[in-house]
Amino acid sequence: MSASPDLHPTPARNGSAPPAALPVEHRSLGHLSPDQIDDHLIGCLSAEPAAHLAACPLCARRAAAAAAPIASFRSITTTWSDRYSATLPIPAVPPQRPVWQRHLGWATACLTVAVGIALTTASQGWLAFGPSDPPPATLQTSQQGASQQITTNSPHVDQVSADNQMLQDIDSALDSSAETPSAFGLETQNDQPAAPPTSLQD
Amino acid sequence: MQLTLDASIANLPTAERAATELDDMDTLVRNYRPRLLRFVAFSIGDADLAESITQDCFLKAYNARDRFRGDCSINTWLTSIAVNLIRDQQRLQKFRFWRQARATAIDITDAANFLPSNESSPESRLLIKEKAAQVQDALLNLSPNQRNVFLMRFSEDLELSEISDITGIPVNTVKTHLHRALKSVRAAVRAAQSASPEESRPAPPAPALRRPTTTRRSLATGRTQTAGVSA
Repeated sequence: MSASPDLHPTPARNGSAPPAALPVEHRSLGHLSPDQIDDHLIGCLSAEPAAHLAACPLCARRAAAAAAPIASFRSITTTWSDRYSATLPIPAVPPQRPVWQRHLGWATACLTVAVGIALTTASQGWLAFGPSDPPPATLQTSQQGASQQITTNSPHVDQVSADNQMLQDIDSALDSSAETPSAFGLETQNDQPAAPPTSLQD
Repeated sequence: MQLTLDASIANLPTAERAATELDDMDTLVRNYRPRLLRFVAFSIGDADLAESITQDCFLKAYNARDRFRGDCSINTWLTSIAVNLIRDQQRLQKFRFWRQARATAIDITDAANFLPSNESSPESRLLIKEKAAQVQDALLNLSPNQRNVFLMRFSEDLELSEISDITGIPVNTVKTHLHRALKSVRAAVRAAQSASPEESRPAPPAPALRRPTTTRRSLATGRTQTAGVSA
């Protein structure tokens, strides 16, 4: 067999020494390196070494020897876990509602929120625009100097009479005042009325 | 487009079957608990903790079954959940010093007593037990990543691509971890065999249901524990 680049005769390729278990006379015959044995165990051995492994009883023995401890470990751990698992209880599934119930719950919640929002919006709209009665009248009287809000529920008669009364008060106040020039800003320096002429010459 | 369509059609029965399987907790546990428990137990080295993590894993899978898309096998999906839980546990364990004292190590030699008797003689059973114990000891020296990858490949029989998907590590890195793990395991086995060649000779088998005081080592803590437990 010709030595392939993947096979063992070039140990310097991966820096590993020739397998110690391999007799000296076999080391130059293209047997698998330890790394290739590992590749075989891992399952990523390339085609050419795999063909050699299939044909070479020595390499097959070495591969089997390398696999034996792992196989033992596996069989024992499998037995252990089977036995141990059989003694354990099945985990209790937490009570969970079926899907349709969960969907129903979500739908109910969404509906409740929607109705709540609609009611809130409607009540706000009712306060803003809803009632057909006129809004309560609000008057600000400036007579007393301070802003004072007067809110009445029967505005028309009282309001009109109050307004009329106020206007009458204003009128009477105006009528009672003397119509003097000073009232109109026409006051002069001599407030005395002019004396009648004493002579015709004047 | 055609390929995608074909793939989706091809995956449909698998996904439906998986959805049915995931809906039934009893079936799920019966089918997958032994292998999941094995993976978790030998990954963290604590049987009690492994039991707890495995239960959590099934509950998580059951609650999240609606999110299972069927693009991998249930076993792979469960293993990925378990890996995340193990990672969380390892992160948490750094702050739990008292946890180490409570670690209930796995006594692998017990299981050897229950190996099917038709498959081996007492001598070969003892040999199997020794080799398995050597591998278990060798796992102590591996990093968590190497140990997980080793167990997934050689204990759970997962493909390299599946391991890559589960761990989020590229396939080439998975191969590197496996090579290093194999080297360590093989060196440990060789060292154990050369250190005690007389042990490789067949010896009388241990009593079937009672085991003497044994010295065990926890995978999680690396500490030696002495325990005398009667089965």
